[in-house]
Amino acid sequence: MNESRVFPRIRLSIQSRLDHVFLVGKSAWALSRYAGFGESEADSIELCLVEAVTNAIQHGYRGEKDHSVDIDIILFSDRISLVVSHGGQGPLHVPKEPSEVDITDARSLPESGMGLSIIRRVMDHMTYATHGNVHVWTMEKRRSDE
Amino acid sequence: MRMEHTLIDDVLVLVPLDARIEAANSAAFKGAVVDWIHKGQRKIVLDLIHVEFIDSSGLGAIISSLKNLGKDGDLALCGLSKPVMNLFRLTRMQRIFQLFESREEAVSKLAH
Repeated sequence: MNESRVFPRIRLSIQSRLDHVFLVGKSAWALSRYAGFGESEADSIELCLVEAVTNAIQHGYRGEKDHSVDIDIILFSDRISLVVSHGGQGPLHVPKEPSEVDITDARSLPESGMGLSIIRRVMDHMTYATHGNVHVWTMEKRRSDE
Repeated sequence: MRMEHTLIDDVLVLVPLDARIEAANSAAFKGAVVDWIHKGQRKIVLDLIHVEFIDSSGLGAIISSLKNLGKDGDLALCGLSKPVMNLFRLTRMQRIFQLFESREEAVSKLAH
Protein backbone atom coordinates (compact mmCIF):
# COMPACT_ATOMS: atom_id res chain seq x y z
CA MET A 1 0.00 0.00 0.00
CA ASN A 2 1.42 3.39 -0.95
CA GLU A 3 0.39 5.69 1.89
CA SER A 4 2.07 9.07 2.14
CA ARG A 5 2.80 10.27 5.65
CA VAL A 6 0.49 12.88 7.09
CA PHE A 7 2.21 15.14 9.57
CA PRO A 8 0.35 16.57 12.57
CA ARG A 9 -1.11 19.95 11.72
CA ILE A 10 -3.26 22.39 13.65
CA ARG A 11 -4.98 25.58 12.48
CA LEU A 12 -5.43 28.42 14.92
CA SER A 13 -7.45 31.50 14.11
CA ILE A 14 -7.48 34.71 16.10
CA GLN A 15 -9.15 38.07 15.74
CA SER A 16 -6.80 40.74 14.43
CA ARG A 17 -6.28 42.12 17.94
CA LEU A 18 -2.80 42.69 19.32
CA ASP A 19 -3.97 41.64 22.79
CA HIS A 20 -4.86 38.19 21.42
CA VAL A 21 -1.50 37.46 19.78
CA PHE A 22 -0.16 35.82 22.94
CA LEU A 23 -2.58 32.93 22.35
CA VAL A 24 -0.76 31.75 19.24
CA GLY A 25 2.64 32.54 20.71
CA LYS A 26 2.01 30.34 23.75
CA SER A 27 0.59 27.59 21.51
CA ALA A 28 3.67 27.63 19.27
CA TRP A 29 5.91 27.43 22.34
CA ALA A 30 4.09 24.40 23.72
CA LEU A 31 4.00 22.58 20.37
CA SER A 32 7.69 23.31 19.78
CA ARG A 33 8.56 21.78 23.13
CA TYR A 34 6.34 18.75 22.37
CA ALA A 35 8.14 18.36 19.02
CA GLY A 36 11.50 18.15 20.78
CA PHE A 37 12.83 21.70 20.50
CA GLY A 38 14.87 22.96 23.42
CA GLU A 39 13.50 25.65 25.72
CA SER A 40 15.59 28.39 24.15
CA GLU A 41 14.57 27.36 20.62
CA ALA A 42 10.91 27.27 21.66
CA ASP A 43 11.32 30.80 23.08
CA SER A 44 12.69 31.96 19.71
CA ILE A 45 9.92 30.20 17.76
CA GLU A 46 7.27 31.87 19.94
CA LEU A 47 8.97 35.22 19.39
CA CYS A 48 9.03 34.78 15.59
CA LEU A 49 5.37 33.82 15.41
CA VAL A 50 4.39 36.80 17.57
CA GLU A 51 6.42 39.09 15.29
CA ALA A 52 4.80 37.69 12.12
CA VAL A 53 1.23 37.85 13.45
CA THR A 54 1.80 41.35 14.84
CA ASN A 55 3.11 42.42 11.42
CA ALA A 56 -0.04 41.01 9.79
CA ILE A 57 -2.30 42.93 12.19
CA GLN A 58 -0.41 46.22 12.19
CA HIS A 59 0.41 46.41 8.49
CA GLY A 60 -1.92 43.92 6.77
CA TYR A 61 -5.03 45.09 8.61
CA ARG A 62 -3.65 48.50 9.65
CA GLY A 63 -4.63 47.78 13.24
CA GLU A 64 -8.30 47.06 12.49
CA LYS A 65 -9.61 44.58 15.04
CA ASP A 66 -12.52 42.89 13.25
CA HIS A 67 -10.60 40.62 10.87
CA SER A 68 -8.98 37.24 11.35
CA VAL A 69 -5.46 35.92 11.13
CA ASP A 70 -4.97 32.18 10.55
CA ILE A 71 -1.95 30.29 11.76
CA ASP A 72 -1.12 26.74 10.70
CA ILE A 73 1.48 24.88 12.72
CA ILE A 74 2.83 21.69 11.14
CA LEU A 75 5.10 19.29 12.98
CA PHE A 76 7.33 17.61 10.41
CA SER A 77 9.69 14.89 11.54
CA ASP A 78 12.72 17.20 11.39
CA ARG A 79 11.25 20.71 11.60
CA ILE A 80 8.33 22.91 12.58
CA SER A 81 6.50 25.00 10.03
CA LEU A 82 4.52 28.13 10.93
CA VAL A 83 2.18 29.52 8.28
CA VAL A 84 0.54 32.91 8.87
CA SER A 85 -2.31 33.86 6.51
CA HIS A 86 -4.36 37.04 6.34
CA GLY A 87 -6.62 38.79 3.87
CA GLY A 88 -5.46 42.32 4.53
CA GLN A 89 -3.10 44.59 2.67
CA GLY A 90 -0.10 43.02 1.03
CA PRO A 91 2.63 42.47 0.37
CA LEU A 92 4.56 41.84 3.54
CA HIS A 93 5.65 45.02 5.24
CA VAL A 94 9.43 44.78 5.06
CA PRO A 95 11.14 47.45 7.10
CA LYS A 96 14.65 48.44 6.16
CA GLU A 97 17.33 46.45 7.90
CA PRO A 98 18.62 48.61 10.73
CA SER A 99 22.13 49.69 9.96
CA GLU A 100 24.95 48.57 12.20
CA VAL A 101 24.22 49.79 15.68
CA ASP A 102 26.64 52.36 17.01
CA ILE A 103 26.93 51.47 20.68
CA THR A 104 28.47 54.84 21.47
CA ASP A 105 25.39 56.73 20.31
CA ALA A 106 22.02 55.74 21.80
CA ARG A 107 20.32 57.99 19.26
CA SER A 108 21.23 55.56 16.47
CA LEU A 109 19.41 52.63 18.06
CA PRO A 110 16.35 51.42 16.11
CA GLU A 111 13.01 51.59 17.94
CA SER A 112 11.11 49.57 15.34
CA GLY A 113 11.67 47.31 12.36
CA MET A 114 13.54 44.65 14.35
CA GLY A 115 10.89 41.93 13.97
CA LEU A 116 11.91 40.77 10.52
CA SER A 117 15.60 40.69 11.34
CA ILE A 118 14.80 38.55 14.40
CA ILE A 119 12.87 36.12 12.19
CA ARG A 120 15.70 36.00 9.65
CA ARG A 121 18.17 35.28 12.42
CA VAL A 122 16.11 32.50 14.03
CA MET A 123 14.36 30.72 11.18
CA ASP A 124 16.04 28.44 8.64
CA HIS A 125 13.61 29.27 5.87
CA MET A 126 11.09 32.02 5.19
CA THR A 127 8.83 32.65 2.20
CA TYR A 128 6.05 35.09 1.45
CA ALA A 129 3.37 34.47 -1.17
CA THR A 130 0.04 35.92 -2.26
CA HIS A 131 -2.78 33.62 -3.38
CA GLY A 132 -5.66 35.74 -4.64
CA ASN A 133 -6.47 38.05 -1.75
CA VAL A 134 -4.71 35.96 0.86
CA HIS A 135 -1.17 36.73 1.94
CA VAL A 136 0.77 33.79 3.31
CA TRP A 137 3.94 33.96 5.35
CA THR A 138 5.71 30.63 5.90
CA MET A 139 8.57 30.14 8.35
CA GLU A 140 10.42 26.93 9.10
CA LYS A 141 12.81 25.93 11.85
CA ARG A 142 14.75 22.68 11.85
CA ARG A 143 15.25 20.86 15.09
CA SER A 144 18.83 20.77 16.23
CA ASP A 145 20.19 17.94 18.35
CA GLU A 146 20.63 19.79 21.62
CA MET B 1 0.48 48.85 32.01
CA ARG B 2 0.68 48.07 35.70
CA MET B 3 3.97 49.21 37.20
CA GLU B 4 5.30 49.52 40.74
CA HIS B 5 7.89 52.11 41.60
CA THR B 6 10.37 52.62 44.44
CA LEU B 7 12.80 55.47 44.96
CA ILE B 8 16.15 54.46 46.46
CA ASP B 9 18.14 57.67 47.02
CA ASP B 10 18.16 59.21 43.53
CA VAL B 11 17.56 55.91 41.70
CA LEU B 12 14.02 55.09 40.57
CA VAL B 13 13.22 51.38 40.37
CA LEU B 14 10.34 50.57 38.03
CA VAL B 15 8.79 47.10 38.18
CA PRO B 16 6.36 46.22 35.37
CA LEU B 17 3.77 43.79 36.73
CA ASP B 18 2.48 42.47 33.39
CA ALA B 19 3.98 39.18 32.21
CA ARG B 20 4.40 40.39 28.65
CA ILE B 21 5.60 43.62 27.04
CA GLU B 22 4.61 43.41 23.40
CA ALA B 23 2.82 45.35 20.68
CA ALA B 24 -0.45 45.32 22.62
CA ASN B 25 0.93 47.26 25.59
CA SER B 26 4.34 48.62 24.56
CA ALA B 27 3.02 52.15 23.98
CA ALA B 28 1.54 52.24 27.49
CA PHE B 29 4.79 50.90 28.93
CA LYS B 30 6.84 53.51 27.07
CA GLY B 31 4.45 56.27 28.15
CA ALA B 32 4.75 55.27 31.81
CA VAL B 33 8.57 55.29 31.74
CA VAL B 34 8.84 58.50 29.72
CA ASP B 35 6.46 60.24 32.16
CA TRP B 36 8.99 59.60 34.95
CA ILE B 37 11.80 60.94 32.75
CA HIS B 38 9.83 64.07 31.94
CA LYS B 39 9.29 64.58 35.68
CA GLY B 40 13.08 64.83 35.98
CA GLN B 41 14.10 61.28 36.88
CA ARG B 42 17.60 60.65 35.47
CA LYS B 43 18.58 57.29 36.97
CA ILE B 44 16.21 54.40 36.33
CA VAL B 45 16.44 50.69 37.07
CA LEU B 46 13.95 48.56 35.16
CA ASP B 47 13.33 45.41 37.19
CA LEU B 48 11.87 42.83 34.78
CA ILE B 49 11.41 40.14 37.42
CA HIS B 50 7.71 39.60 36.52
CA VAL B 51 8.17 39.82 32.73
CA GLU B 52 8.21 36.49 30.90
CA PHE B 53 8.15 37.73 27.33
CA ILE B 54 9.19 40.81 25.36
CA ASP B 55 8.82 41.22 21.59
CA SER B 56 10.51 43.73 19.29
CA SER B 57 7.84 46.36 20.08
CA GLY B 58 8.58 46.03 23.80
CA LEU B 59 12.29 46.20 23.12
CA GLY B 60 11.70 49.31 21.03
CA ALA B 61 9.92 50.89 24.00
CA ILE B 62 12.91 50.16 26.26
CA ILE B 63 15.26 51.63 23.64
CA SER B 64 13.04 54.70 23.45
CA SER B 65 13.31 55.08 27.23
CA LEU B 66 17.10 55.02 26.96
CA LYS B 67 17.01 57.66 24.23
CA ASN B 68 14.68 59.86 26.28
CA LEU B 69 17.08 59.75 29.21
CA GLY B 70 19.79 61.26 27.01
CA LYS B 71 23.46 61.49 27.80
CA ASP B 72 22.99 62.75 31.36
CA GLY B 73 20.69 59.87 32.28
CA ASP B 74 21.33 56.26 33.17
CA LEU B 75 19.24 53.12 32.65
CA ALA B 76 19.96 49.65 34.01
CA LEU B 77 17.95 46.45 33.63
CA CYS B 78 17.73 43.49 36.00
CA GLY B 79 15.73 40.33 36.60
CA LEU B 80 15.76 39.21 32.96
CA SER B 81 14.10 35.83 32.38
CA LYS B 82 15.62 33.37 29.88
CA PRO B 83 13.22 34.33 27.02
CA VAL B 84 13.90 38.04 27.60
CA MET B 85 17.66 37.47 27.68
CA ASN B 86 17.26 35.44 24.48
CA LEU B 87 15.69 38.50 22.80
CA PHE B 88 18.53 40.76 23.94
CA ARG B 89 21.08 38.31 22.54
CA LEU B 90 19.23 37.88 19.23
CA THR B 91 19.17 41.64 18.72
CA ARG B 92 22.66 42.11 20.22
CA MET B 93 21.16 44.59 22.68
CA GLN B 94 23.02 42.97 25.55
CA ARG B 95 25.96 45.04 24.27
CA ILE B 96 23.99 48.26 24.60
CA PHE B 97 22.22 47.97 27.93
CA GLN B 98 23.57 47.56 31.43
CA LEU B 99 22.16 44.20 32.54
CA PHE B 100 22.30 42.88 36.11
CA GLU B 101 21.03 39.76 37.80
CA SER B 102 19.71 41.49 40.91
CA ARG B 103 18.03 44.78 41.68
CA GLU B 104 20.62 45.50 44.37
CA GLU B 105 23.48 45.27 41.86
CA ALA B 106 21.69 47.52 39.38
CA VAL B 107 20.83 50.17 41.98
CA SER B 108 24.36 50.08 43.37
CA LYS B 109 25.80 50.64 39.89
CA LEU B 110 23.59 53.68 39.18
CA ALA B 111 23.95 55.18 42.64
CA HIS B 112 27.66 55.82 42.08
